[in-house]
Formats: sequence, C-alpha cells, structure tokens
Amino acid sequence: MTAPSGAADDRGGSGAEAGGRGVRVPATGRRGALRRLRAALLLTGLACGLVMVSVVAAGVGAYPIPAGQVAASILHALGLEVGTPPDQIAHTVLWDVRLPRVVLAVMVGAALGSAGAMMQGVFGNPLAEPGVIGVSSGAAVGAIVVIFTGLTVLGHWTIIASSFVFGLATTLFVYVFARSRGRTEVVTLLLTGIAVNAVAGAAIGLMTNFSQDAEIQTITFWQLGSVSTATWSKVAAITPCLLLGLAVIPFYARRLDLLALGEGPARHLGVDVERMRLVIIGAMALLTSAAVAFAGIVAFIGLVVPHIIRMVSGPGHRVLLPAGALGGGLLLLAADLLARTVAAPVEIPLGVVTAALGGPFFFYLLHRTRVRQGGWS
Amino acid sequence: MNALARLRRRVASAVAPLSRAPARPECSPPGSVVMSAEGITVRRGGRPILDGVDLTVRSGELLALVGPNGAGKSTLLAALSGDTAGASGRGEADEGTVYLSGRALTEWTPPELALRRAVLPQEATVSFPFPAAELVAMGRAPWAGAGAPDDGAATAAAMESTGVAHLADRRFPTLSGGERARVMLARVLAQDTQLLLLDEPTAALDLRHQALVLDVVSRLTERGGAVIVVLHDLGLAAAYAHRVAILSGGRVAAQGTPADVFTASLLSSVYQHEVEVLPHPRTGVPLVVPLSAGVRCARKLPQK
Repeated sequence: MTAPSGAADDRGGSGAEAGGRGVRVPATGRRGALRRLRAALLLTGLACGLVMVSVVAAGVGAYPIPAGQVAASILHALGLEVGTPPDQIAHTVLWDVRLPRVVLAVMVGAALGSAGAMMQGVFGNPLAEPGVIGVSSGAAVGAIVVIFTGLTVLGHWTIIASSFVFGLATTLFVYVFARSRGRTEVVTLLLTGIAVNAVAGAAIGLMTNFSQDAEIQTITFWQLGSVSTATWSKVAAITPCLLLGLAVIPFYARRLDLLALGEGPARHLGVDVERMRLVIIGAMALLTSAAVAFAGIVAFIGLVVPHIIRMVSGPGHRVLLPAGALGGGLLLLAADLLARTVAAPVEIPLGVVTAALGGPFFFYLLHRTRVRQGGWS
Repeated sequence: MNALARLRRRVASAVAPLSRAPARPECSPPGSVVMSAEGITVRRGGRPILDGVDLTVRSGELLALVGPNGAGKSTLLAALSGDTAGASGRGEADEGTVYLSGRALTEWTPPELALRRAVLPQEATVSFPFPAAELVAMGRAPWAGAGAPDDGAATAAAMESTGVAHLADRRFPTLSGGERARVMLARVLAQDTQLLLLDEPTAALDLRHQALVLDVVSRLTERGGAVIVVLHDLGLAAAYAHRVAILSGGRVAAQGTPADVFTASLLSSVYQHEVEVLPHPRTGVPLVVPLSAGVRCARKLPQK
C-alpha cells in the first residue's frame, strides 16, 4: 500500500461505516463557526471597550476635558482634521499627564493579563498568577535592589533588567519546585507561592529598613502599585518588552492547548515541550517584570481576566491569550481610573484597588470550585 | 543519519508553524515491520523494570501486551513512545533501541513522530475544561494547515467510530469515566497515524464499549495499520489480538498467537494464580478462566 492510496482507504473505510458522517461534518462546521463568531465578538468588544474607556479616562481628572475633544486631539495627532481640539492648557494636560498614564496602564494590564493566561497554561493550573505564586514579588525585589543601591548603568532599563533577572529566576524556581511528574498540584503551587512571597517580603523589608526617606517612599510605591508617575519615556521602555512577550502568542497558543493534555500527550502530538516551556517562561517573566518595573506589584489582574474570558469563550488559548491582553489592559485602566477619581483629589494606590476587586473574585472562584467539584486537590 | 541532516530537520521543525502543511508520510506496506525494539532495558532506583525486551509489530497486526500488575507493560509502552529517559545519577538507566520504520526513535523529531504514531496514555487528565470536540480536534494538530474540511471530517469520523459524536459539546470534566476514555481514543484515532500505541483503552469501559473499541482498532489493522495495545483482560486479548506478548518481571515470557501462548501452565505461573484455558465451543478462541479458591478445593477433593 502506498501513501496516497492508504489515505484514500482510510477515508473510504470510515465513510462506509458512518453514513451519518456526511451529516456530522456541517454540524461540526456550524459549531466551529459559532465559536469563531463568539471569539471575534469578544475580541472586537474588548478592543472597542478599551478605546472608549481610554478616551474617557484621558478626559477625567482635576482638569476635565470632554471626551469629544480628547478624541479630536488624538485624531489630529494622527493627521485627521476632525472635530475641535482642546485649548492649549488642556492639550498640555492631555499629552503630558493623562495620555502617558492611560497608555502605561493599558500596557501594564495587557502584560499582566497575558502573562497570567500563559502562566496558567504552562503550569496546567488555573490558579497560577504572577502575584499569587510570587513572581511579582521576585521581580519587585529586583526593582528595589536597583532603587536601594542607586544603580543606573542602563538608564530606564536598569530597573527592567534587574526585575527581569529576578522575575525569571523566581519563575524558574517555582516551576522546578512545584512540579512533579509533569504536573503542578494546586496545593504545592500555592504553598510555594507563600514561601516565595515570604522570602521576597523579607528581602524587601530588610532593604526598606536600611533605606533613606526618599527611597522608602519609592519602595512603598512599588509594593502598592501605581501608574501615576507615567511618562512617555517609560511607555517607550515597556513597549518592546510587551511586543516581544506578546509575539509568542501566534506561535504557541495552539501548543498551549495541547499541553492541557499533559506533557507526554503534548509531545506525542509533535510539540517540543522543553523548548516551548523555555520560550513561554521567558515571555512570561519578561511581561511580568516589565509590568512590575513600571507599576509595582499590581495583584490579581492575571488571575481575574483569564478566568472571566474562559467563562465567555472557553479555554482555547488562541482566543484566551489575545483576549487576556486586551481584557487586562481594560481592567487595569478602569482600576486606575477608579484609583484616581474615587477619593479625588487624593489618589488610592492602584494595587489596593485591584486587590480589593481581585480578593473577592478569588473567594468566588474558591466557592464555585468547591460547589462544583468539591474543591481543589 | 548524519548530524547535518538532523540539524536541518530540527530547523525545519522549528519554523514549522510558518511553513506549509507536512506531507503525508509513506505508509509501510502490509506485513512489513513498522516498529521494532531491541534489548529494551529500563532501571529505576537500581531495580530493572524492563530487562532486555525485544518486540516487533508489523503492518496489519494487532499486538497485545498482557501480564500481571508491575510486569512492565506501561513502561514498555512508554519506551516505545520514546518517553523514558533515565537520570543516570540515581541508578536509572535506559538501554536498547526502538526503531520506527527502520529509523531509531531518537533520530525522529517530535513533529515527524506525531505523523507516524499516536499514543493513548492510561490516565486521561485535562487541565482545562475543553469541550470533547475540541479535545478530539487536538489530534489533528500534527497536520496543522492541511486544510480545515479534512480536519473536520477526520475529527467527526473519529468521534463517530468511538460513539462519542453526541458528546461533542460537552466539557471534559462533565463526562463519565467511560466517555472520557472514548473521547481520548477518538483524539488518538483523529491523529490518523499508521501506528497506534494504546495503554489499556478498555479499562474504564463496559462490555459493549470494550468490543466497540477493539472492533475499531481491528478495522484499522485491516487497512494496514499497526497497533500495540496493553490489555488486562486475557479474553479480549485472545479474541482480538493477532499476536500476544506476555510480560512477566520485565521480560517477555512468551510471544505468539493467542492460541499458542495462552496455555494453562504458562498463565498460571506468570499470574501466580491457577487458571484453566478452554477453547470456545463455536469459535475456538481460547477462553481463560481463573479458578476461585472454592473451585480449586472442589477439584482437589476427588484427587485425594
């Protein structure tokens, strides 16, 4: 039997036993089309929401600017002479204060949302999240080491580089430590996270103790999380990290689906599991540490966003990863808007807002899992 | 296979998602050797789990691996899948070579292997609640880009043949044990490879579904497929397998057609439990009957 005739035999043989197959195929096709439609709707909805909330957020503040003027100003900058742009003061507020902050918030959120989804995929565990398992704390230690020692060898990049090294080391440590026989148990993962957070907390506490007042203020900023010190140069520094981290999505989304079957089955389906693991962990550490370097520890974005998206569009990573980035950006932007308006003129730290939203969501997840399957084992 | 060609293939597999669909590999002609293993030895913690196992499966053949618990069946299947890799520091060692279509397993890249053999693991676990249809469609991943209608048809046909088409939209955690096992088998069938390695595909199934699964697998061998299947049920092995390999203590105790190998004395000694083997009155297939303690006493009484 030669190759092509073998293929034909296979087709013919299974076709003969199932006259129903001809009926099934369109059914599968219709189901697939429905799923694709829902995914497309989700992604466009998130993108539109992101744009609208961005425009609104850029207008809200101590010097309010109408959304129409914000949109006009942005369109003018893009070369479209539409609507009435704002006056000179509003223009300065918009472009020097509001927009860098909005853009940074979206980027940090996108990094955290997609990193959370990747982490859950590669750990095969729905509770993995940079904050929960200690990667954010690890990266924060790297950032605080730089603040504490006053290193500036790489300019804006010093903090990113240092938090990337620490974040990557923490991710690898947790990954190696919490895995056994190709799986990560929920309990081991969470306990590892507690231990890592404790060690990182000790290091941060020690450095805070021996810091000057100015440094203490900066360090406190990292721990509570904020995007209030956004500038265009920070946006420029985080952009390549975000793009590089997100660039793995088209190559590895399908393979992350296969990894849900376990390492062995994924390998049997042709996935080079070792290489994929290295690439994803690298991307994940890059995204997390870039976010931590510019916004401090903003917890729960990477947990809340992928869970909500899985409820809407299922666990497939080809939708989950891009939607996680968009949803993370949207959620962090909304949280930041809340942080700076709810008690204006005083600002609440961003990390406090996300923790206040994410903590109860974690409770809800625990409760739901307990009801449905008797808890995590 | 020289190092340069291997490097070229590795590079080709690295850019696979960017390149066009892989070509269907040449199937081995009927009766030719698809997979052979020579001197497979696996030690864990200094103890040999497999000890110099030789095995061959030909195109068109259903080979059943049977044997008592701990005989090394699953380890052998893992070795044939290319999964075992010992850590030499801890007294763990793997020796021997597995050949697929005449080339050593280590010479193939994972994507090349995935087009030639599919593996059904014993345990079915899925980290996220995928719907059954998506899980089965994952079996088409090695053929990525080969054209959606083809993938859809192969997925649907695989689900039809294992009787899980009606479960397409159900999420995996909501399925019963038997349904999960058949969904996973459908995934392996959707991979559409010449060689199948199945670890206890019938363990969680009732009588009807055991027969259904082995019928499906038998039909594949009629069309030139080769199947190695771990079975616990000796009756099923006798009824469906062309050849049987009995493993005992990490070695192949006997290999051959069920009629030749399934003898009362051999099975009694391998399983350390007295059995009787009778030919089926109509088909002649050997029936393996374990004797209960009561029956053994009753039989011994007249002998006294």
